[in-house]
Formats: sequence, C-alpha cells, structure tokens
Amino acid sequence: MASQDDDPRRFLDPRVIAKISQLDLRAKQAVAGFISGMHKSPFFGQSVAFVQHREYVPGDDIRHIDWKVWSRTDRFYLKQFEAETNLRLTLVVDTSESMVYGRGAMNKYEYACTAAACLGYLTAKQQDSVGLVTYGVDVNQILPTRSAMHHVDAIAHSLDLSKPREKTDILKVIRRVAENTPSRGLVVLFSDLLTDREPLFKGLEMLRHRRHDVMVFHVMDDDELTFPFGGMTRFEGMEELPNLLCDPKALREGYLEVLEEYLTEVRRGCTKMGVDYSLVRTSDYLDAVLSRFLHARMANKGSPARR
Amino acid sequence: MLDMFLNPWSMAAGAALVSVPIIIHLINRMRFKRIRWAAMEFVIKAQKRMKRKLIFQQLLLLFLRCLMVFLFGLLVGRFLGFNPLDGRETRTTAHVVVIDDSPSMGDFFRGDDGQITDALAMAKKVLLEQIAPAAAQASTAQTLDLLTLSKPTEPRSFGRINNTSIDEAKSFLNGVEPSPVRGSLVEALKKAKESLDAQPGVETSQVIHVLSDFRAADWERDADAIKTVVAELATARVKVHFVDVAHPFRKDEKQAPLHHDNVGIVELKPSKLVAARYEPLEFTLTVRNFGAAELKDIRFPVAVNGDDAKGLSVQFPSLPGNAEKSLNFSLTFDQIGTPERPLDRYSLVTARMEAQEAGGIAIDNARHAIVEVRDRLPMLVVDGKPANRDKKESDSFYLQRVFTDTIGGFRWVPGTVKDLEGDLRQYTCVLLLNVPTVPEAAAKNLEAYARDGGGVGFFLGPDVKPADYNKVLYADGTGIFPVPLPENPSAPVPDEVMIVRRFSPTKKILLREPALKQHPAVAPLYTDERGLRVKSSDELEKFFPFITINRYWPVKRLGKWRDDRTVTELFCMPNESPMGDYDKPTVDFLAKLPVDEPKYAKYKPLLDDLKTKLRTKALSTEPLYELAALFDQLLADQRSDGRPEDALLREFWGLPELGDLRTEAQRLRDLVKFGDPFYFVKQFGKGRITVITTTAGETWNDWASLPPGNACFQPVMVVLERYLSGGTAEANRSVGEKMAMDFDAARYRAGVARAFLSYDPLKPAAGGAATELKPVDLKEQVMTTNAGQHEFRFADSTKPGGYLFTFTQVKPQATGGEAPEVPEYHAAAFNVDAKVEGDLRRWSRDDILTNSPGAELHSAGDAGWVDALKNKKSDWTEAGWIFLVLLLVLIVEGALAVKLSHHTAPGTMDHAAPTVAALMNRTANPGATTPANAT
Repeated sequence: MASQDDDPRRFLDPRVIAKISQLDLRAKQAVAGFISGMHKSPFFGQSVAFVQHREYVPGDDIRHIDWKVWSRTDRFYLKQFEAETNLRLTLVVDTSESMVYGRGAMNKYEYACTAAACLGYLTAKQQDSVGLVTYGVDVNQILPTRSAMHHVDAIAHSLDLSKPREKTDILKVIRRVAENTPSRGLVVLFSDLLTDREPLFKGLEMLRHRRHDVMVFHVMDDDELTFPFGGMTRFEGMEELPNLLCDPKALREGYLEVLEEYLTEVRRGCTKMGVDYSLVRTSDYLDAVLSRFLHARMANKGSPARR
Repeated sequence: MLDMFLNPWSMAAGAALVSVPIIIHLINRMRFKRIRWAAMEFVIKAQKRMKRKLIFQQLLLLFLRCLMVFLFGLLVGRFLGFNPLDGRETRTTAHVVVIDDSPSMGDFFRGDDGQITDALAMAKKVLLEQIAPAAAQASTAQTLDLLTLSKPTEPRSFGRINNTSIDEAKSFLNGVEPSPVRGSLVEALKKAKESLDAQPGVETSQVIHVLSDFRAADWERDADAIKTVVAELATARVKVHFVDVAHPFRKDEKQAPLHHDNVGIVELKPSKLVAARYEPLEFTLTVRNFGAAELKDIRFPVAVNGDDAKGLSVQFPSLPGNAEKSLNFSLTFDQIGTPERPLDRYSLVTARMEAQEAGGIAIDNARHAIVEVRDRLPMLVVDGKPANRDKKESDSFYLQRVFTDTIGGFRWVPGTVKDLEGDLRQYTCVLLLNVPTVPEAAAKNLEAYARDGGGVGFFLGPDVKPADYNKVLYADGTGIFPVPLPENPSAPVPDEVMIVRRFSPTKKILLREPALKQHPAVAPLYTDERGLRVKSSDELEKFFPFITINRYWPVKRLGKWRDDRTVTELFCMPNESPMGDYDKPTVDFLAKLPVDEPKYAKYKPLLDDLKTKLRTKALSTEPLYELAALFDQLLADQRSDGRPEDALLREFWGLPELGDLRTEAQRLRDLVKFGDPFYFVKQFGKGRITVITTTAGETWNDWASLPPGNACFQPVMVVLERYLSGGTAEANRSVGEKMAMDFDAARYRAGVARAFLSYDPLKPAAGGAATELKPVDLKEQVMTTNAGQHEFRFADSTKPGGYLFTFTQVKPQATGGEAPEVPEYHAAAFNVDAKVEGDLRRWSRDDILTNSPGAELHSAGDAGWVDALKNKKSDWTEAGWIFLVLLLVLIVEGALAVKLSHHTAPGTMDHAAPTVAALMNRTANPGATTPANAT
C-alpha cells in the first residue's frame, strides 16, 4: 500500500472538499465554453434572459425573428438572448524549487497542489472542465481541460508526479498557457511569485489581454512572512541564488520592510490589471481560504457579464 | 604599570577577558545554522540596506561589552589611578600634635551625647579617635609626639603609633586641662619643628597637627609671626594641619564661624598696692560682656583671703552686649604681718562671678588682686625748713594733721634732702615741701623711685630755687619735674586787693577742662565711691571761692612741656588781670560774629543779646571773671544748665563753617578765664608726680588754714596721696608673663624665697571657705648676677593667684640693734589674660588660610580629612562612581541588545508579522495601508 505522501489523492483533502462542495466556482466574467453551462458567455444563445433586438440581415436564422415587432413595424428584427456556457479552468501550479520550502504541516508546493486539486474537483463536479499546467523553467506538464470526474484524478496524479527543482521563467510559462487556451476561461495561478516582477506582470497582462479571468493564489510560508530565525545562520539560496551568512534577528527589521514593499508591489500590480490576488499562508486553513474565495466569486453572480 | 593595581594579576586576567566578547563573536560566526531559503531576494536586499547601521550597532554593542568586562577588570584589579604614588607617602611619617591648652579652650558646650564637654576635650577626642587611629592604619611607620601650647618646651614622645601608644597618649591627655597660661602658637610651632628634626632616621615625612580653637584675638595679634613660621614649615616640606575643635563646629560654607558668648572679669585693680590697716582701699572691678546679649543683675562676690565674710558683694544692674563696665568698691583690711608670719601682710582679694554663664569659659569668671597691708604707711616728707617743724608757719604743719590725725593710717616720716638719696621703695610716697634745691644724686634716686612706680609730690614755696629745679629736676623735660619754673614767683598781692578777692564770688581754683574730671588724680573728687555717678561739681568746688592765694610760681604756658603728653595741668587760678587787657580782643572778636547773615537768622536774637552783653562788659571796668562767664555762656561748652538757649548755641557753634571762629572764641575765653597754673601732674615711668605751685602751708595761701576754704584741702590732699601711691598698682599681670626686677648685688642676697597665695574660687567648696588661706612655699629662686646687679626674672607662674617673694637685704654696717639681714617683701597677682582669652570670636577661614600658606584647615565636625593620614592606597572601588558607570554601561548594553532583538520574548514575531486576516483585508481593500507601510 502506498504511503500517504505518495498517494496522489492526498491532494484531494476530504475536509476541504466537504467544506467547499456546497459552493460553486463562478467565473467573474464571460467565459467561452463549448457547451451550455452555468457561466455567462460572450455569445447570444438560448437562455431566457433577453438581451437585445437586432435588425435582420440575410443569412440569419429566421427562427429568431421577433414577429410581434414585424407585425407592428413591418420590419424584421431578431430577438437575442444571453448564452450560458460551461467554464474552462486552467490550474497553473508553480513547481519551482522555491516552492519546496516550508516548515509547517505542508510546504508551499503541497499547499498549492492541495488547493489546485480541490478547486479542480469542485470544477469538475459542477460540470465545468478543468486543465492543469505545471511549470519550472518551462512548462513541465499540460493536461488539457476536461469535465469528467476522472480527470480530477489525472490532475492529482500529475501534480504528484511534478517535483519542484528548477528555477522559474514565468513569462515563458504564461505565454505557453495563453497559447494553449485560445478561448476565454479562468486561469488560476498557484505560486510563491519569487521571481522578477516585470515578466510576471507582463505574463499576467498577456492573459488578461486575451480576456481570461485570472486569479493568483500567492502561497507563502509563515517563515517567509515573519522571518523568525535567531543565531548566526547561513541562508542557502534556492533557484541558484547566492548564500548569505548573517544574524537574521538583526536583519529582521530590514527583511520585513523589503517583504512589505514586495507584497505591496505584487498586490498593486495584480489589482491594476484586474487579476484576483490572494496571499495565502501555508498555516492558513485551506478550506477557509477556498470558501472565502468561492464566496467572493459567487457574490459576483448577479453582475452583468463583461463581454 | 602593575603598581597601578592592588590586584595586578586580576587586572591582567581582566585585560585578557576583554577579548572574550570578540572571541564569542568570532565563535558565533563560525557556528552557524544552515537554512535553504527561498526568499533570498529579501534577505539580500535587507542585508544591503542595513549594512552600515548593523555594523555600527554591532560595533557599539561589542564596545559596550568589552567596556563592561574592562570595568569589571578595574574593579577586581582595584585600580589605584594613573599615578598611584601621587600624595602617598612611602617614608616614615613623624606626627607632632600641638594641643592648644590656653584658657579659651575651656569653652564648654553640651555635646551630641548630652554631656558637657569643652574644646580641649574635643581636641583630645580628635587626636585619639581620628588622627591617631587613622595614622595607625598607614602602611609605613608613624610616630607621634605631643606638646601643649602652655609647655612647648616639654614635648612628649609616644614612639610608633599603635594601640599601646594610643592608650599611653590617652592617659597622658587625661592630665591635660585648660591651662591659665596663654601660650604662643609661634613658639609651639617652632618647638614642634625642632621635635620633628630630632626624629631619628634620615628620610621622614613630617606632619604637624594643631588642635586649637583659632580665636581671632590670638591670631590677629600673632598673624605675621604665624605666617612666617608656617611659610618656613612649608618650605621645609612640613605638612601642617589646623584642626578647629571649637564649638559650634566650623563649616566649609560658612566664612565666619559662630562662637559662644562669654562674660569675664578683665580687671580687678586696687588703687594702690600698699594700704594701711583699716584704711578704705578702693578697687576697680572691670567686667566685659563678650557676647551680644545684654545681661542683667550680675553679682560679683568679693572675698578677702578666701573669706566672703570679710569682703563684700557688688552688682552690675546691667551689662550690655560687647561692652565693658567698671565699678569701684572699697575694702578695709585688718590682717597685717607678724614677725612669725611675715607673709600675712599680703591679703588676697578675689572677685568672682556668682552665677556661671550659660556658655563660654569659666576660668575668666574669677580674678585675684594682692594688697600689702601695713599698720601704717610710711610717707617721707622733706620740709624745706626743718627748723619750723610742728609750727603753724611750717609747710608740713597742716599736711601732717591731715595724714596723721584726720585720716590716719600713715606714718609721717620727716626727712631731709639727704634721705632722698637712700632707699625710697619703702615709702608709699615722697612729699617735698618748699625744698630749695635737690642734689643731683637725690634727683637720680627720685627718678629711679618714680620710674618704678613711686609717687613724688612737690609743693613749691618762697625758698625754691628755680634755676636748680629747672636744671636738676626739670632737666629740659627729661626729669621728674613737669614744668620749668620762672625766675621769680608772683608778686605779693596788696592786702586791699586780697580783701576784694576774698569777697569776690568766683572760684579761686578752676578745673582747666571739664573732661579732666575723669583724670585719676582728681576723679575721686567728682565721682561717688562706686566710681559710677558723677557728683555735682559744687560739692567740692563750693569751697573754692573762699580760698585766697597770695603768691605762687607763675609757670608760663609756653615751651616743650605743652607738647609733653605725660604732663597735665589740672587746676589753674582765675585770670585776675584788669578788664582793659581784653576789651579790644573781645570787641574785635564780636565784630567777627556773623549775626547779620540771613542764614543765621535763627540764632540772631540770642547772639545779639549776648553780643551786647559781652560788648558792654568788655568796655566796663568790672572784674574779668564776669566777662569769662559771658564767654562760657556764649560758647555753652562748659556745662549744661538745661537752658534752652544752650542747645541752640551748641547747634550754632557746631556748624562746620564756624570751626575757626569757635576755636578763636575758645582761645579768647581761655585767656580771659584762666590765670596761671595751680596743679600739675606728670606720669613718669610707672610713677606719678604732682606739683602744686604754691605752698602747702599758710605762707602763700590760706587754703589749708582758713575756714571755710580749708574744708576742701583735706579731700584734695587725700586724693593726691592716693594718686601718688597708686602708681605701683598694676593689676593686669597675666599668668606666665615675665616679671623683672633688679637689685644691687652688694646689698641683696641672690636667693629669693617664693610663696604662692591662692585658691580656686569657682570650686563650690571654696566659695566662702572658712578655712584659713595660707601661702604655699615654692622652690627658692636664685637670681642671676650681671654687672653688680642681681636680676630677678620670674616667669614661673602657672596658676592665677598671688605670688609672694622675699628678698634679703644685707646690712654689713649694721649697728648693734639692727639685724644684719632684713627681709624685703614683694608680691604680684597673676591672672588669666581675660581680655584676650575671654574674647571667643573665631577667625574666618579666609584669614586663617591667608595667614598660613600651605596649611590645611579642618573642622572637628568633619573627620573626612584624616583619610589622607591613613596613607593607604585607595582604589577606584572606594569612589563609588565606577559602579555607577558600570551600571550605566550595563543598562545601555541591555537596551541596545534588546533593540537589536537579541533578547526578544517568544511570540513577539507573530505579532509583528502580517496576519492572514490582515492580508485578506488588503486583498479586499487594496488601498489600505499596512502597519509596515505606515512605518
């Protein structure tokens, strides 16, 4: 029997799933699905929600002509309704070396994977399709979007197979993600964002430009946020960064200052582009984090779809 | 280097330990944890940003820790300073302690323990409890010598200072009491230096401690001498410590220290040293209040030979602060010497203060005087006409009646000029009545007699040869006779003029100046028996108008004698010249009176009236005395009759611009009023000379013979005799003072028997003791002989009282009845020098230090200075401030270490870190600032 650490299903935490299974993952904006679903679509379709009249042009399906209008005006107008479609969720998980860090129950990678898997499960459960991209220097694996429940297992398996070991080239990765998801969908990025800000923002901007609904789960370990070390310490840099011997307590003040600047920069950058940004600590309860996230998405249900 | 520390090896270890923080720092750098860290970017940025601050803080912390270890090293190593030998003495130290045991050291007070103690006891305490124990702690050998101010020649050595020698010093000091003898600090310092120089050993450090009360009276007198001696000591590298032991203790912040009040008898003086049995002898008691507060009703019992019953008690109703008051009283004596007990001729008179004052010194509350009492006082009278003795016409007739019949107590010794060459010391006074001439040998003898305190009275007369007097006796002012005589006596006054004068109401003898009423030769005539109240002048002078003086020697008020301050003209005769001699000067003077000036308008009516009267009188032929009376009235300076215009006139003459005019008026008044001199006195050496320019008998006047004028003859003669015989009275000999007398070696034996007659009147049992006071024999003294003279020098008095000396006169040519050796007695009273010692004022710190360069002044109330005597190496741990510095360093180090988060409490990190909720809120509200942002 495989140990708990080796089981790919460990990422599907029943407690988290139980907590979030009552909720739906809603796209904040119109997504372009291939079947009808619960999400707003950029196209006109068969739903009951009337949108507008449009003058008939030859070639239009005459089934959509509003005869009541013809009877009054003697002109042909088409009656258009909102289309509802399904969601294509692309989970982008950072598998760079820096994601291995973590001293609590889960390291950042485990935490990110669990969150991604649970979100994938929820998506599949609501008949939407979910895909996965893991990346290091380049994209490591790509799982195309599927809506079958067994696809969730494939995602978990895929996450389990990915071993964080490399440094990141975020721009390159996002470009690949963008190329692979031609229609509008929801892209959720799970990463510690320990990379250069400029390519990161460029990549995110690229996604936004393609009308994707982008979400960033910024996963950080408690140690990284509080820097609680004491005594002479040699910090050995991951992802080919240099080592440093110092007294961390003396440095703490400066560290927190720099960290704060970094977090502010990331948050502002994301907000500016309309990217949904969440900073998550590995010590936070994942169910709480996801519940809050899903509730926030559901709150946007009644707003008009952005086309 | 090592001698800078008491524990040098501890300091070496401390110095080595200074490197410990550095070593710990280095070891810490070598022992580090390894953490694989993702967010290296932030660490590297923080490191870059905080590099300078970190290095500075770390270095500061390292420095503080090193400093801490260094200070601990100093403490443990007991750092002595950079110059540990500075002020430390490595040689043997010789201490000489000079203890002031002068009478003022008896200044008593109630100490902190409630016990009564005095300055001397305080000095002993300072020596035994401060100086000696401190010196005993020194690492080098310390020796102690002691000497007292009263006996500087008898230093006492106690050898090396240790517990045994301190005990010895204690038992020695138990016997030291305030001495009546006032010693000289200068002398004591010199002796102390000699004592130091006599110490064995080549290299010794020399220290003199002076434990004294530093009275202003002592220092002001000897300031220059003390300054010289102390400067010499400083040059000789002798350290001088002055310790002020008087109470209240001197404080550094007070420039002039406080002092106790004191009352002392400063003088008890008989009017003469030899009195006749039962003769009332006048004493003057002078008391000084040295304090500021007035004292009331102070009683002074006076005892004779220790018996209050034979004496009396006098009282001062009031004694104002800082004032001296005298009063007179009379005593009679009945005890005279007998052949068996010849020294009984001396009676000791002792005055004491009845109640002791609250503070101050007790020893000045009593004073002794010694008086020789004889059955009769021999008085040598040389009559110019011995043949007429016992006849009314003789000059001595009336005088003899006065001294032998009326008042008694005198032995009238008629003598000749030849007798004046003999021994005159036995006579209380010598009277020369109309003696024509005095041979030179007799004059020399008289001079010697007068210089030693004898009294010589001259009455002139028709037989006096002025040339001889001027040559031998006056001798151009150097002789005993006060004035040169004119060539001739005054011309006889015709009978008719005499009759007019007899019935004129003016005084025939005038006091030359009102101030002369205080002169001792006439003062008893004008004051009551206590010497306090001034009697009305009329009491005596009412008889003066009835005297007629026919002839006299008109001494001119010209020449050297006028400038001789020892010569005083007491009485003169009125000016009997006609008015015509003074009319012009008077009129001229009146013309100068500025009556018409507007600023004198206030005085004009009065002056106009007097001016008119004076002018009228001056131009009349009336007797001159009437003009003189008007001048007296104008000047208003003779006496106060209480007339309102006197005050106005005095105010007028007091105006400064009228000074010259007033002098002129006074000169003119004196010319008009006073005639030729009548009575001169002269102070000659210790003795006194009187001259009356007319006869003692009735040859030239009727003063002695004719009533009622002769009523004033007797009192004047009695006072004259008292004045003449009072020259020997010198009451103010201080204990320890030198007394010198010379004797002819051929006539006196060298041996002198000595006796001491005294008691302590302040001891309760002694007051009014019924036990008979007897002289105590002292060791016989042998006089030194020099050039045919025995020199008697006495300086051995150590206690207040009477010292009696018996000299032996040898008479080689003694006739059958006469003894070949005749004892001759002398006595002197020695008392505490109350005038100086009773004054307890203390000298200010500045004055003392200015006059004692190089010396240090300490107070008995502050024993801190004796630490220097311990000669102990004192390290910084004794100072205390090093602990403060260490504490400060510890606090700063702790604060800095906490600031650098090296001592952070667990959990503080999480508080400082952004919480998830806060971060979520940020997500929801991106514009909100974070705490870190805010900082």
